[in-house]
Amino acid sequence: MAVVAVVASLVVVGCSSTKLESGGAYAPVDVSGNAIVKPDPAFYVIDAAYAVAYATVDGVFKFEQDNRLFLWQVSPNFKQALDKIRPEAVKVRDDYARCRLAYKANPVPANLTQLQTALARVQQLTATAAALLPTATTKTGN
Amino acid sequence: MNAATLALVLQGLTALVAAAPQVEALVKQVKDLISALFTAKQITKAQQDAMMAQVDAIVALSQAGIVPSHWAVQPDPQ
Repeated sequence: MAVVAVVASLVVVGCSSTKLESGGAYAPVDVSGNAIVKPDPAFYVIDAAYAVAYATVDGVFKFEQDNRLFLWQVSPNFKQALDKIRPEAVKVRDDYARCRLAYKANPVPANLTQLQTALARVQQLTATAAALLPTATTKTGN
Repeated sequence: MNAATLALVLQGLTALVAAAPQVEALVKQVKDLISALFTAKQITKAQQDAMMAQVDAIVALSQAGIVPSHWAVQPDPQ
């Protein structure tokens, strides 16, 4: 709980001063430079977090595929564990895409909450996938 | 900015790093993102456009029903 409180306070203090430059994809303007819609920093942050999570799970899957024969010889468990995650990963990817399209079409708080929930599922799955990666250990020789 | 939303997003990022500290690329991406959020005075137009394009591309894959081969369950090696 302490971590949550610290993170929440950092958000309030730290992010309050960060702005979206006018004219960007999350703060669109018309040809006259007038805002088309209100800048949407929360949408930017959620998309950025999703991009990180997606790149991670994509990297884990690719790492396993690229090194499959070697990893299989070391332990079949890695592929088997990832194979349990793969169908779920496609599902949460599709869920996020669906929620994002809904939010872009109708950017109301309820749809943002749905998008946030979809992101949480992606992050949870990504953490599970990344935690399966073999852990490298280094001997210092001391 | 919605503090509750951001807090939850950052919690998720923190959990990712905690689950897989050995994934250096992930740790760097998360650090860069959090650093940008807390130290940058402004998310530039170029940064916004790049992010939108990146996620739009992922969504397009999903809409097209494309599943990359490494995301699909394939037969075990013999």
